[in-house]
Amino acid sequence: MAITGQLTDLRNVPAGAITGAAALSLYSLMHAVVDTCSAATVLLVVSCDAVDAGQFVALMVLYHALAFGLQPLVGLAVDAAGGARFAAVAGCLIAAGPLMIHMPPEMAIAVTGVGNAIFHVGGGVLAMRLTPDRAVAPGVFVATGSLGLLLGVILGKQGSTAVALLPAIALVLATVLACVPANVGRPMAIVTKPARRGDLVLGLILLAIAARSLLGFVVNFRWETQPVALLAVAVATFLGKVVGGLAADRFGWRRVAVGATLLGWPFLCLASALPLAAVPGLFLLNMMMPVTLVATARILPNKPGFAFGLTCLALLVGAIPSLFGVSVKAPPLVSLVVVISVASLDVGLQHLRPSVRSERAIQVPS
Amino acid sequence: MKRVIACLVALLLLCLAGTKTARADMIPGPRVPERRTAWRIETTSVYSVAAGVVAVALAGSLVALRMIRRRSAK
Repeated sequence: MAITGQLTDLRNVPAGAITGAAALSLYSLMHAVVDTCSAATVLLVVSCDAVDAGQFVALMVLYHALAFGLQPLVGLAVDAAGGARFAAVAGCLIAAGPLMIHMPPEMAIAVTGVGNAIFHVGGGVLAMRLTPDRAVAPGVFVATGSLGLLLGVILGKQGSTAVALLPAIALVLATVLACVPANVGRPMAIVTKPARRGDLVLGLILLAIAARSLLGFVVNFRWETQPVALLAVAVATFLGKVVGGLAADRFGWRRVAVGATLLGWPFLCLASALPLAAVPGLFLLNMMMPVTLVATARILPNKPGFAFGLTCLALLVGAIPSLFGVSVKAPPLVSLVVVISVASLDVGLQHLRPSVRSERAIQVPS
Repeated sequence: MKRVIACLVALLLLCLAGTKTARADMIPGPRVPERRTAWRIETTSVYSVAAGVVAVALAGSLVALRMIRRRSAK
């Protein structure tokens, strides 16, 4: 049974609560600000604290391990305690912390990474609740991160004066989320029949995510030398996730995710010879992202935080070679990774059982 | 009210962390590189922490998945 339409039950929305587009805008804006703070912190630490190349790589590995690796564990805690909004508020404040308070490099990176992990899970769960079992809201939420990262890189390279306003913006947004009732009602329980070989399906989808992460580093533009190209990649990534979410709900998850990845294949292969070909390639590649996110959430019903965290852990696993300077660029290797990604996506989504909407409304603590 | 208190606690923790760091910064003496090398964790230790986090995350996720499957099977 296909699920169409908005599942959120809006009968019990508190007075003055922000709903729908306004709530999604707030979460997405916070995501952009948190990622801006994180990228700016990393670059400021590198430029201000005389970090050499070896230490820089180590700090980047530490940041990614904390920011992405902690997310499944944070997700389990959020699912158990039901504190998605608290996690988003606390994560936002913690991620902005190193920009407010002087810290040694390792501590600044660690605090930013931990804050980033906590925010992403909290914000991700809130966004997924806006459109349960649909890709559109998670797609918009995750998309703004790429713009935030770009802004963080630009501001971080400008120096500490340029980032002075960021903590204040983070503080204001966190206060708005904490104080304004952002309850979008009581989401309907999504009851999913366990998939046949559920763990295998989950593994295939996570494998597709890891492959996408690996392909995401097919080109590496530098802001100093190629600002337009870097901007184009960030915008392409942003649009890919937004359009992917919208298109997947409209035309079907499997059709959009598999089709877009296949369409992106030639562009990604061309990227080593013609780097700008990566722009349409990454646009198409990122269209699968919201689909893999909601598909993981469907496999793990009522565990949206853990599902979100698992997808980020898969992203980290796929990014590990690139963190150490090994990226997939040769066309045969790109083709191999794309084939693995497409095959695992196709089989995984094919065996994904449709969810069944329960008429019983459940109370989801905010 | 609960959320406002949570915000305040988070801010307080941040301030405490900052105060601790600031005290360390007030230690007289040359700033770079002597004092910083005292603060700085070795690169290998940073890698160890990162590897530990990833290992715990992977193991924790697998254990959690098994528990979820076991619960849903009942």
